[in-house]
Amino acid sequence: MKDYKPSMIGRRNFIRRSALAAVGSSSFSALTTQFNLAHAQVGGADDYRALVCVFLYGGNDAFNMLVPRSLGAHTTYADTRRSLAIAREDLLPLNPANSVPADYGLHPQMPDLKNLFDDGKLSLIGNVGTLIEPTLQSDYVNKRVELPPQLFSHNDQQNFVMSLQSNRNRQGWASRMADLMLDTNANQNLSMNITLSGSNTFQTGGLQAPYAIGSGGVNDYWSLQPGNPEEWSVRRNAAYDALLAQSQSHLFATEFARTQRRSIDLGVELRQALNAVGAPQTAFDGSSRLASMLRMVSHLIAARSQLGMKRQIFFVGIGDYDTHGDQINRHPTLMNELNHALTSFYNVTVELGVSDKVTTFTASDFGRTLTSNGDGTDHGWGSHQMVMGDGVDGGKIFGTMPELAIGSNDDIGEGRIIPTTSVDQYAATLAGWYGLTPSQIAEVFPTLANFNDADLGFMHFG
Amino acid sequence: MRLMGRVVALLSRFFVAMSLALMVACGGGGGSSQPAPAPVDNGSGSSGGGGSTNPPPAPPEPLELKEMLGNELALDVTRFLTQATFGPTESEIKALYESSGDFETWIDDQVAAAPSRILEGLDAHMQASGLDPLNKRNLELDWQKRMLMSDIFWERFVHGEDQLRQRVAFALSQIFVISDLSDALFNDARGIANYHDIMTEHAFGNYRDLLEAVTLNPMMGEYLSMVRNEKTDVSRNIRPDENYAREMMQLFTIGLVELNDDGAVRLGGDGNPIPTYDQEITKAFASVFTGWMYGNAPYWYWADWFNESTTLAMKPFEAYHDTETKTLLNGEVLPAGQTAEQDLDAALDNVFGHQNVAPFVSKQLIQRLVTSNPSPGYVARISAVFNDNGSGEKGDLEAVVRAILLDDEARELSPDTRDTFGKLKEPVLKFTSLMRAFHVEAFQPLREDGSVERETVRFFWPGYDYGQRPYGSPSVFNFYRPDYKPANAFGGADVVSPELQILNEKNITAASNWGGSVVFNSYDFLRDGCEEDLDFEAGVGCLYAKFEGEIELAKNTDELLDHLNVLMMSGGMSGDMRAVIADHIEPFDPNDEQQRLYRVAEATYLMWMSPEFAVQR
Repeated sequence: MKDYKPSMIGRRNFIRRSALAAVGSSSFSALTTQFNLAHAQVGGADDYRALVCVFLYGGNDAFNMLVPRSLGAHTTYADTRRSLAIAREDLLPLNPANSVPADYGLHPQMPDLKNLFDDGKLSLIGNVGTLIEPTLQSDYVNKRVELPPQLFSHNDQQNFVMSLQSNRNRQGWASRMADLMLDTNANQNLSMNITLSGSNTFQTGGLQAPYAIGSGGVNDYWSLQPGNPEEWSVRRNAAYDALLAQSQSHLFATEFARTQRRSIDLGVELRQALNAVGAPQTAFDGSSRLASMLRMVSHLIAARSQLGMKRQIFFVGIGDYDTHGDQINRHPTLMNELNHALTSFYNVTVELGVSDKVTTFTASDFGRTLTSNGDGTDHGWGSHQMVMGDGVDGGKIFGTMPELAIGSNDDIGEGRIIPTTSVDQYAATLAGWYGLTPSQIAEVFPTLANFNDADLGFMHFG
Repeated sequence: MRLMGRVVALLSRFFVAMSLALMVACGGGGGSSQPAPAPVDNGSGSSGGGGSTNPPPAPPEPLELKEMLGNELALDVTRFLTQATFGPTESEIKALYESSGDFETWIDDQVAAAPSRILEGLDAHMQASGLDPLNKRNLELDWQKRMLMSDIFWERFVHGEDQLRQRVAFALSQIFVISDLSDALFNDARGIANYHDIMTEHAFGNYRDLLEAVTLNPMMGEYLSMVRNEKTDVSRNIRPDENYAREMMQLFTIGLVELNDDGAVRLGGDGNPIPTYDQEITKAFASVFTGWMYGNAPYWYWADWFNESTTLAMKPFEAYHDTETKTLLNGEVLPAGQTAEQDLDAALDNVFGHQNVAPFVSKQLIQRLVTSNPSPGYVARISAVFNDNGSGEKGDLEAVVRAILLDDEARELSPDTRDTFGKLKEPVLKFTSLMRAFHVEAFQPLREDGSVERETVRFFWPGYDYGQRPYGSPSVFNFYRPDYKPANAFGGADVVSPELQILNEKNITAASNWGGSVVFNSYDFLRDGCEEDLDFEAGVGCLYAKFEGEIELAKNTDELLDHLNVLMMSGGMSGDMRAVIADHIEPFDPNDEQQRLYRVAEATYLMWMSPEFAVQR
């Protein structure tokens, strides 16, 4: 072989310290694989909807994110929380457009989200949590109701929030939604579900595995360079393609081959599409992991028509919310990151003209105890969530806000608060906006029938 | 002084356990029969096997790797090394083969080998890099310290002599998880290095001692917030922190539901699993774990830390310990008025006495070393050893590891489970096996001006990229869960694959890239480009495979592929796969040395990237 002189692209970009921050994907100019133009413009630019799940791993202490401001209620809150309480005067006052039984304020690190709330672009849903049927304190104490498995255990509650199933053979609700709406997307190779944070139950278990991408975008295969016309690359790819195509008797080898094949093929397609549209201009805080991931989501959304996608569900997970210790320092940092990253993400959807087509929502393992363990909080149950986008009936607080006194009817001990809205209701409302029919919703969320409101009303329809 | 006494007590308990374990091991108490695969074609008539009670077998004639295909003993030796080390090397395969596959003696030697210490190595490495290990103020250098720590981990995993000990320690680090991805362990490289040394020290010790060492370790203390955990104070409306109590039970000892010794979930009369503990028990353990603070803290509310804060075992401050009675597992009550240490000892005995510990830990260790889906019988056999090493000791990890590796199910592939036995290789193990097979290390500048260089295995950023690094898991739930099985996967077969949880497009691309770069940096013209770019801030060295004998073997395609097949794949490469690789390398001229290198590298790359190599069988 005379002309054998392989190159190794990509590495040069990678080995700098900056590599951990978002970097653009390297492009290979001689890439010859033709992008399938049939994907572009299917269904017109208007028919697009995306859900973006921002999962706060560890259990967000939302009782310090949305806090009562009326004098009496704040005193109760402060008496329960003591050294962890946020002073009343530091709260950012909210003036909900709907009637709420008390005044509430947002965490002091969330001024931009407060503005989005005031502008009607963001709403809060009170005391959401994992339930199988409506549960009162007496039901809980007397074991009169069925409960999700292993309350207070991180992974079990994450799995339940993400799948709303108690069985071991779980399928995530985003995956179930995607199975029903698969035909909507012209591109059948790229999964409707995309994850910026690797494996998650939310998107897993259905016909398509979620596609995993990093916040730096898609890397080329440095030693394969599919599409490079040089002989070394053509031959090496051909040999490797042949290995991947061989039938494997071992189930794990089959899974490996499938993942590698998908990764190589989709990598080429995605890089091409992302390079074609370029990254959006809106500034994101470069040091924030959450912002880097959301920035990549926005880039993917920008490439939606190139990729032939009309419905997409993105998963973005961010850790360190398990604030058992040093909460007084750690939680404000997290709230600050959430404030900047979510606001930038909202702004970029405006830049892309899709702020009414993209709905961002938070979820978490569980809420936290109202009481303090000295410098932090422990695993709780119900918790508040945020939804953001022009599709949201914004500037409102939905659901029932709990009492924050220890020993109240909402408390099962140490300020673990029984949820008054189930994750099924929260999810089903989002699913309705996303485009599932009522019968599809009933299919995806079977326990929804146990609750009164199948639609919490926080999304605009039509 | 009290603290010193405590450390001495711990150490002496450790040595007693160790010597007990050794005696038991020498008595052959492994709980399972040692298979005796007969060498097929060396004509020595050796009976193989290595039971130390047999007369020493006549050693088989030495063979080259390329001659080992079809030789059952040789292939069992390479499989064993895949399970027991960070990857087989030519010299290890030959040595173990020539000992007739005397795995017992090999394990004895590994147990006796001096543990390689990470902290010691890190301190020396930091000094060489111009960093004062004990200067805690250089916070902005956190990433450098972690990078230097990563160097030492990779050096030990790839080149360390105490392979089995490190492999077990790495497995234990995936049960007793701490991670520098959490800001709780920011700037704590030395503490994490020391934590790994605890895994290493106890890898063949007793699980109860390890549990105690972990419980009192300040890095675990920070990670799961047991440090500074205070008793109930009504005036401040505070109560004990439940974090360590809960995760210790869920992840380090007994799990959430009751298990049989064979690992199966026990069902109650109502047909449902039986929870091992409830919120009241969690609260009781939370109270037990109150009153502990850094080993060098002058007083409880000390807001500072230095040097040994991150490495010394925590010490009790009785005024902050909850002295009420506590009702633990199985209704055991700790009386009021005990000291922090008395409560902790009794509580760890309580949880360690639970019948779940044996199957819970044994199954996970089997999964890390041998197979994702052990049969119930395999788990039960290891649980039995865990519960009693033959001399009545529970928790003897040396006996457990020995039994796991020597069990019939580990040693002999059953036709019934061929398609599911083994495990997807963890990314770290895929890289270490490549690096060990081909002697990977490279000179790396240790100072910004390049004035100090050292051979090391710098492979820091890649771990972020492909999704697994020692002590870099996303949470205390490790990189993957032991029961990971996506719905609808595996065509409905009832199998789990923990490692599949981190096999996705992003990670597989990155792994492919870093494997490719290690293989193809063996080409001067690619390595030169890499080295031009290399500097202190590079998070990865220009690591390259040092092909040695392979270049000569490449004169003959069959010999090269036989050799690589034995070295990398325990001789298990399929005919179809081999044909593809043979066709691919044929056009390179076997008479030209440079082209022979291309043959070796192309073949190695394709094998390393292949679906067949992806599975440890």
